[in-house]
Amino acid sequence: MVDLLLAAFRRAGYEIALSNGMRPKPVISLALARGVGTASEDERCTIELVGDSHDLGDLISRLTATCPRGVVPLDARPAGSKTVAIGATYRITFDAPGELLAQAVDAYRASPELPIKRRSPKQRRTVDVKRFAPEPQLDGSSVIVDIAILEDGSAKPDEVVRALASCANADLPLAGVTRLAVAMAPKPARVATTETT
Amino acid sequence: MEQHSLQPRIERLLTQVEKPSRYIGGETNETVKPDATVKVAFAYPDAYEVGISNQALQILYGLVNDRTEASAERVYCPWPDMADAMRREGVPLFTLETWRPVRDVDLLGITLQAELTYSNVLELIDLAQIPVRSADRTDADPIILAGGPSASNPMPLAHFVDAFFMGEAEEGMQQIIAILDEVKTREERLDRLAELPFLYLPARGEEPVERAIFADFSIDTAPTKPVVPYASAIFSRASVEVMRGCTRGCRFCHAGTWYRPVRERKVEDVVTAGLAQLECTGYDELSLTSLATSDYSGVSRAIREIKEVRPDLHLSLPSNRVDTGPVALAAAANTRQRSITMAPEAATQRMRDIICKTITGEMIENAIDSAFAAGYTSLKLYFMIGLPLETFAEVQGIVDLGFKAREIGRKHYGEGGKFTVHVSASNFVPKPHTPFQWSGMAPPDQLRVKQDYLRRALKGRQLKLSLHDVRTSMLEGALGRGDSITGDVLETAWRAGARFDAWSEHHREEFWRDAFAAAGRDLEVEATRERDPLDPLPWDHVRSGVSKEFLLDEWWQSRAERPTGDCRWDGCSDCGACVGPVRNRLVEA
Repeated sequence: MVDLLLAAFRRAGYEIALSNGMRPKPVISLALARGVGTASEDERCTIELVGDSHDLGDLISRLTATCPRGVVPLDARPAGSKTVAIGATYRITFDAPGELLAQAVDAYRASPELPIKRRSPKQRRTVDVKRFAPEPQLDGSSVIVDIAILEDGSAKPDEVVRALASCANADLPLAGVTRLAVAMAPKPARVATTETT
Repeated sequence: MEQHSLQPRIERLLTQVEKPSRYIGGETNETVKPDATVKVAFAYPDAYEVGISNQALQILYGLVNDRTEASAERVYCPWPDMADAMRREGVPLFTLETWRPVRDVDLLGITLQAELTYSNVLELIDLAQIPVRSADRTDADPIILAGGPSASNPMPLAHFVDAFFMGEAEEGMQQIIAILDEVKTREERLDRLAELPFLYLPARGEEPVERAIFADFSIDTAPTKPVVPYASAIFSRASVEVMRGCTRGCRFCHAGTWYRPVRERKVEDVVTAGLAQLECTGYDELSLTSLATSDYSGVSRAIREIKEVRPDLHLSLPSNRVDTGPVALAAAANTRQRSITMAPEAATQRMRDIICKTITGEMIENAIDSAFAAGYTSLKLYFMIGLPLETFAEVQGIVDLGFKAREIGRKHYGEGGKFTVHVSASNFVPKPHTPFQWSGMAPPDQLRVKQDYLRRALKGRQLKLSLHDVRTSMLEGALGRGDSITGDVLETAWRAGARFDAWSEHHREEFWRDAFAAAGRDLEVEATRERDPLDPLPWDHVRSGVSKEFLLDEWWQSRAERPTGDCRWDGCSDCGACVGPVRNRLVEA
């Protein structure tokens, strides 16, 4: 996504600012990484462009012309103070009978905790999905779920899917995952630890 | 994108696979022509990230869409997870642009860049729900055309491909499209195609077929609007082919014979095409490509003129001659690049004379010295082992040169300096249409002994070694010089499950051993067998332009350890490639 956006900005005629140091890199960041195969209706990108000021309306129209199919620039604002993602809303669509899905959602909501094993090349640990995504809502053949990003991490949409499947005690074939919105908040100031004498 | 009936079925599959972005299409600069009367699908028989970087397919894609009434769409070989899901759900192979079934096009053009993709050719055809054997196809099926360098020995795929394009397709493709527009039944189309001198149609017998040579290397044919991949690709950069052909005459090199003579593109056309590509792709890197870019007469001027417009651009010059001049050029072209590659191919003068690599040990050492002096911290040295007439002294030479390069590096960066000498030794595989086409590969046990020696000897700080898998090299050798019986072997292996043979995680040697055995053959014997120069070769009916007499003479010269000069500077060696107006064409420096 970063490469795609960099190329789109360059095609639109913008020069992207580079970081300092021995190996300068374009200054760009995405608010929240997205899992492979997850569609998205909300991406937030912060990018530093060369130049004093840019007409944001003009930027949107130029970028609209240079983004590939399926990527639609919606809004542009001056970056201002730093913000971080604190959560995201997902629509998870299943290819499963509605009754089974409803049972799964009810059981999920009733569970005090939902430990799911997470495996990565570096570590294996158990994540309590319920802490991060406490209240999934049934919406036809989909489940709408808010997943919070807390200080100690977050849950992934596929972990919510596994938790729902364990609540249903059955396979819940997945038809697709779409991120609907990303929630942002001002970045908290770093807490300095000082020693007093 | 227009909604197609396959769309919901494909979208469902995307949630089940490792990299959905390989299949979604919609990339910048893709072309959709819904009203085209002739529909073409170009296929690359490997994963998206490999195929999207292929320059030949980008050239043909642009050419068909921009210069003809036909439409060209793309397809890459689905990764096994996707292929299995498609078969399970009955979803046929589809093009990326419109998600329409590949079987609905008029022409499926498959590029053959490497022998290890042959099993994927069958995989593509089968996933498209087209009969795998040409003989079983009907009017409902597209014409399957294969081209690219590996088509120069078409015989291993002759059962499965309707027509093979020999040589460079820029002009011939337009003639093919005109025929497909004029006649509509399969038989009529094949009859008309058989009249084209550069096409080989196996069903029409082994008539001589001439390689097409594209003489017009003007701006009009340089792609200016390449498709920009969504997913990460092996090369994400703009690229302009500055020249085609190489007459250095390395005796192992297929491209060095197949693309003769040398035709250089005008500097102003290189600059115009490069800048146009950068503008419409958004890339921040431009590669000036060819078989040996430092040999391009206009290279310094092209670098200077491009840098005048885009001073901060990463400009890369791959495939350079091992010498101080090219190192200085590469360093000037890309001041941020810290890694440089040199391909001496052989580490002793004797072996370099045998393979006709006309560089000296002194030139190599000077080139290494100037690379480290220019600030490069990663030096890659490419060699081959198992070359004809090789002795152990040649393998020891690789070790010695690796240590010598480290010594030179330490002179610049100090004993514990942060730099790496990366030695890569691949296994020699004989190729058709080269002076070494009669040579066998070294036996696998011998290659493994040499590899083990390199592993033990080339150890130490600042040294790295990479070696090629002997099993896949053997398969490449057995397929590359194969005949129509090899085609039967290929089908048996593919039906057993062979696919993505170039990928170690998917290559299954046992499928191939069993398949060769079922045909009464042995994989290793096929790869290591020397051919008698008096015996016919399976690809004799393919005329590359370079005469068999010249190749045989070069084969004898290799035995005499005598290199042959480059005809650009040392006079004509009478290889046969220059006919009428087709001859070396160099631009002014």
